[in-house]
Amino acid sequence: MVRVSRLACDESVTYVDDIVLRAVEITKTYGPVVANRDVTLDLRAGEIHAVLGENGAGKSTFMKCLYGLETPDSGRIELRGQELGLASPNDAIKSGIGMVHQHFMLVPTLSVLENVILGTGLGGRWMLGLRRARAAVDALARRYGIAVDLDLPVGQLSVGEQQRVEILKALVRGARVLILDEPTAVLTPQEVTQLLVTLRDLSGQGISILLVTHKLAEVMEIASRASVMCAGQLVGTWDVADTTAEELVTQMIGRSRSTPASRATRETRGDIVLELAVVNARGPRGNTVLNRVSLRVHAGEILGIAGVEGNGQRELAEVITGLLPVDSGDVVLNGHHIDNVATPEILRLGVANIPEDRHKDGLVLDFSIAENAILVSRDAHAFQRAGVIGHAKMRRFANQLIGDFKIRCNGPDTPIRNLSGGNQQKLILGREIARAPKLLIAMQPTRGLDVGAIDYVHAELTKLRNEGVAILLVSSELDELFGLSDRIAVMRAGCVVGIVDRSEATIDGVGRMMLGEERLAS
Amino acid sequence: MTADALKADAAVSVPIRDVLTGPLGIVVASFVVVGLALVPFGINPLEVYAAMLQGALGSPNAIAETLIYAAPILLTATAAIVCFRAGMWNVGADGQLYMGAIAALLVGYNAFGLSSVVLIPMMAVAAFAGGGAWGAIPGFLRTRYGANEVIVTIMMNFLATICATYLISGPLASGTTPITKPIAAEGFLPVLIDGTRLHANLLTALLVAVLTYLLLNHTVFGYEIRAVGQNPRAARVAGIPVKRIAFLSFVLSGGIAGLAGLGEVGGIHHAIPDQLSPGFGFTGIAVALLANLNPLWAIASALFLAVLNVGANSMQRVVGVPVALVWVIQGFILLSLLARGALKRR
Repeated sequence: MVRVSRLACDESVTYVDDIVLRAVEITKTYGPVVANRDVTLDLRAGEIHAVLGENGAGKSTFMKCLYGLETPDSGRIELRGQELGLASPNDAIKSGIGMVHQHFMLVPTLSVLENVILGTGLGGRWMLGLRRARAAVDALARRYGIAVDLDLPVGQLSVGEQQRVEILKALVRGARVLILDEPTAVLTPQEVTQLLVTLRDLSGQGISILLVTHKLAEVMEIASRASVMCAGQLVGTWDVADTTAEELVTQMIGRSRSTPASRATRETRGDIVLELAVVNARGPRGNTVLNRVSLRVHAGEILGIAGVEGNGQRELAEVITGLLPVDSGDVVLNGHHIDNVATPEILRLGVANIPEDRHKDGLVLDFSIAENAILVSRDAHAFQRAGVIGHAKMRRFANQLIGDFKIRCNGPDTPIRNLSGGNQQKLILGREIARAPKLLIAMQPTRGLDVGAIDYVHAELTKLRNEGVAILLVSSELDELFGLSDRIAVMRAGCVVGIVDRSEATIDGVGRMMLGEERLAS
Repeated sequence: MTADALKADAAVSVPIRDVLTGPLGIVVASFVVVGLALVPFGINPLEVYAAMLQGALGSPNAIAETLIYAAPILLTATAAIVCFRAGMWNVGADGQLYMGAIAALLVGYNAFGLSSVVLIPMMAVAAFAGGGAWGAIPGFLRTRYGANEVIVTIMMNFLATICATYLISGPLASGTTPITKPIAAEGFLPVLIDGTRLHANLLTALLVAVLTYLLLNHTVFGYEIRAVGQNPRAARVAGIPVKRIAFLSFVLSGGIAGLAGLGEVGGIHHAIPDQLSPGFGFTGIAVALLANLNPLWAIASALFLAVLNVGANSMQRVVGVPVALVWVIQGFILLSLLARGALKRR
């Protein structure tokens, strides 16, 4: 067995080669779909073990089995050599296995401390005992170097801070094994850095970490070993020190990652498709969310919107699609004033929308693929006659999307819920492209997707641009913005603080504008 | 194409575990559990159930009475399904039934010298409009002001019965008995089987159930109702006018419940008596849940609950077990279904 020396920096890790958790030949099927087949993986004390794989490779199912959310059809899970029967997450927690989900399980109105001790009985059997609990939680937070204000309501915390609360929750419940499901997908770059530091500290203290992720850079940076899953099976486990990112990618998708497509450069900018002129808008509590926003998107260009999340990007998209009323200013689409026009009307004018949150805003999870395919175009003549839906046409259209966009599924009648995130996103992308839009608004179009799917989405966006579609791309990944955009607008506190040509922009400069250290004239 | 779709729906295979925890399993289990509870009292549950079946299906007349009972609860169930599918609870089918009955009564009483061929359809339109208008109120309050439709519809049930009581004791009082003046004979619904009371509203109910099924599964409006019910946020982003769809669902739901009032007035009483509905609206909710919110399955589940309720009386007569036993079974089934729903969501 290869000794993992990189992590043996702390004396508390006495048994580096000790296997804490071992999953043996886990198989899990959902009806005809085999989500996991004979997956065997071990986790050593104090190591950071990355689990890589494309969407739908079976990572989530495997983690759910380890955390007692799903019961495997066969196979066993051993903790320090003892076989575990995990019937529920409660059993997992009792055995010292904690999980940080991608979607946090926190009560926004309760304080950090209250959230952390919820259900632990840490304060005492009958009374809340906040003071007693505080001492314990505080000591633990200090020990593991998790900095968070225990008295703030969780609802006021940033996403990164909420994630730290989740980690603390797991530790307070005695977790020695921590499973993190794509923890960096929701974080800003600064928060990612901080999380990685925290994870390294934890592993230094003997906590074993199973890290599910798509992002190879993170794996190469902090993981000691990496396991790759593909089509429900475990392809293999590598010592990170002995392998390269390229090799892991090849294992994941069976082909090397394409270098960012050499972009066909823009010939000439087309006509203005979308123009916002001094647009102001207010949020539900009357707070200003868009402040004198002016920008133009031309046909055949991608305007990237950069900014730390929550600085008005979502509201910008909502104003254009008619979901958020405009206080003052003009929104003009191909000569039509669309400020405060109803959403259906705006969509009919040729606006397509890839929402930020697929599950909440983009799909009806209880519908089939076919039904979701016509969610926006249900009124179109292609799908209905006199209000009666042509089911055959609907299915044919879905089949076409499945083929054209390589959506992995068991046919158009599969519930969309059963698809992986990447395949769900492909469906949304496909149905929006099929509407032949004049303007496409893409909010975080590659969030949570694997490398293969990301490449695919990028290629499609570039193709659309070259076909003359105006694209507004909102992303928190600067690499993505720089790779795709023709111009980049930076938003901060509801303002567009600068618009720069990509050829003249630098990641540094844009980053500084996002953080408010620099202001450029548009 | 429609027939194909119906076939496709029926052909879906279900694992055995889902059958046992499904509506059918729950029904069987409820009978067993309630039956076992009778044993300590020296009562043979099989005898009880046999008497119940005998009372509900033992003679042509019994069958007719069962079908008569099934019609209104199939309509109120379909009404409940429309609202459920749009993500709302319509607990006001009883009130909407009353308003439909009142509207049908007013048309049928005045009659305008019309023949049956014209008068009965007019009464049907009136019943639908009366129930629909009564459903529009909670629909409006919900979509405009966010008022809880459960509370509003429950309150409006009381208002509707009070309206009926007013007619009975006021403008349309018929003398000593607590019943309104009758409608014109031209407004009597045709009897389907001579010698029984079985009237044509059973056909209305079946037609409405089938049409509602087609509406929900094969039309854009039905698609929008389901989308709004399953994920109103995504529906809104996709350009579905969520509030309008929710409002229209409530109107449609109320109208369908109103048609149940047509049957009671035009087919049974030919007037509005005190206590027009023995809780048809609430039984309808049980029917809807038992049918998994599918209007076609509601036909079967309405028949089943009709057997239960009609059979209850003869069961009481023959074996001396009180009618309330049926309510216990019904409650058992309903609670199990709700518990199953809640457990599934976990």
